[in-house]
Amino acid sequence: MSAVSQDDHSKRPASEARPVRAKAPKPPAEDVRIPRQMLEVCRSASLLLGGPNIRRLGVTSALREEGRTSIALAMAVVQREDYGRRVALVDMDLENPSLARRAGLEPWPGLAELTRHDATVEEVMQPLSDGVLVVPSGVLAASAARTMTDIVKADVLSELERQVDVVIADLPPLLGGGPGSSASRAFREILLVIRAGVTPVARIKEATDDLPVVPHVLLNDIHTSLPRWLRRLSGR
Amino acid sequence: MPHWASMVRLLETFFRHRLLLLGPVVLVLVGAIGWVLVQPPTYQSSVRVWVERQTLVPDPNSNPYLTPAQEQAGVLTELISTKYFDAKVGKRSPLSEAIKAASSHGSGGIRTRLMRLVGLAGPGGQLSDSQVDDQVFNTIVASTLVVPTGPEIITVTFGSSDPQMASLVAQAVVDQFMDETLTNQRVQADAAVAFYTSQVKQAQSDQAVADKAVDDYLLSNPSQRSANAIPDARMLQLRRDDDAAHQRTQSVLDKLDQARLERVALDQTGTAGVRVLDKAETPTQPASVKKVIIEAVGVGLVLAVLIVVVGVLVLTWLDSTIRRPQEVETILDLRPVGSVPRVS
Repeated sequence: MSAVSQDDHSKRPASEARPVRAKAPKPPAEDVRIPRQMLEVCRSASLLLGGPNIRRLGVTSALREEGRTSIALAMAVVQREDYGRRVALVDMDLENPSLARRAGLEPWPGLAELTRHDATVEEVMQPLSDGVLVVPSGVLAASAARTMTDIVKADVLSELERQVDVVIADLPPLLGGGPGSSASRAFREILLVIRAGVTPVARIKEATDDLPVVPHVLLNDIHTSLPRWLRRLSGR
Repeated sequence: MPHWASMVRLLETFFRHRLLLLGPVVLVLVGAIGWVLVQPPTYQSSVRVWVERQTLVPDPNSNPYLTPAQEQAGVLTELISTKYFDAKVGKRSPLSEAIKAASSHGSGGIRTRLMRLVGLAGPGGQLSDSQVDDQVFNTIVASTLVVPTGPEIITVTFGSSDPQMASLVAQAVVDQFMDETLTNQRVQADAAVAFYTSQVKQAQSDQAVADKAVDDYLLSNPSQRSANAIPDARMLQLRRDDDAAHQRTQSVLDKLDQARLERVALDQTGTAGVRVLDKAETPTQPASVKKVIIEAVGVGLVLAVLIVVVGVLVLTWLDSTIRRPQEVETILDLRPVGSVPRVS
């Protein structure tokens, strides 16, 4: 499987974008390793969010490097394993897509091609494992903001929803000038990932102020610096 | 429990930044140990002084609830805290000369320069008399200890890096104290003599007037001269006034005699109420450095604790991140659905 740099594609104009080619069916990619504890937490978080009733869930964060993609992956695996649902895991982080690379899948065709009608829904869905389908961001023909507006306007996610039981999206971060805020408008359920001890409260508040819905929060990477004996003493 | 949560947060800050916080602590303790090591050996010399309550010239300000030693130790401590007294001690002992000589021999070692930086040592170069007096004052105030070691015994101790200097200055402090006490008492006794002398003159003059009044009355009234004569009312009054003038003169004369006696007594040795029991001797061994170590380590520890406490508070205050699921609700007013522990 050739690894194509997404950055190279992002810079390419629409006319020069790589044509969609007919691909031979691929075997499902190897399961991405997700820590057991993370799966457990996402399992209970899924229940709190509605369990088998979730239709569309956006996973976002205030800043980058907060663990958004890992949580999105874990939520998808939980939906599949616990409820036997078909999941579309969509990489909507157009400026810095990592889902396909991380899962060892082709970075295109994806959401951008689907929006431009350069590819069909079936073509953009790549199996990660049995029942979990990854939709990469694809090759951008315009700016990320413009592409995101097109994705939301064309209601591409509804098209995906018809193919699967639940759509889980790895959204861009809400701050940093990217299209995170406009992407979040396409979701009624938003899971905000906050990295413990890293993201300042002011930045989180700034990020959530513009959200159309009240997000659910998943605190990631919590840890204590207390030595073990003190933790035992304090009951933590 | 919010207090416990705050405490845990402070502890977490401490353990998270333990290197940052303990680094200055180690530096302070190393500095304290270094300070102890660069201290020169100190020799201490003591003088034990017997003090007693003044009976010859009673002090009206004397406190009956204090022992004579406590009272005089207080007086001596007060005197030591004056530049007037210390300058005299400096001149009486070789201290002033030693400070002058030290100032003319270069700027001193690293320790002196460091102390100069923090204001604990005087300026370098040739010192003026006033600067010498200042340094003498600082040295005596910092190195002299006055302790009442019994109801009537005061121990005066002076510490110096020079054993001979220690004994000479300790002795000079006590000698100057005795001089001051004696001078003070003499001034008071002189004042008493002068006062009673003027009182005697006045009483004698009054007595002469009374005597003359009686004589004049007898001259003008011969009937009153006879031995069997019954004195009239006027005569009785005049005699009564005359007797009173005599009595007052005698009383003032007695007091004048007493004051003169006290003044003369003050010229005799041992009447100041202060007497040296043990003279200062040149110490042969340096004093224990235990006190210096305890002081340095104590100051170091206090500084260290202060650094840690202030550091932890500041770092906790500066930390504006979310660390626990409870804080999602309390600070952000959002609903937490889970918390993923760090996978190490």
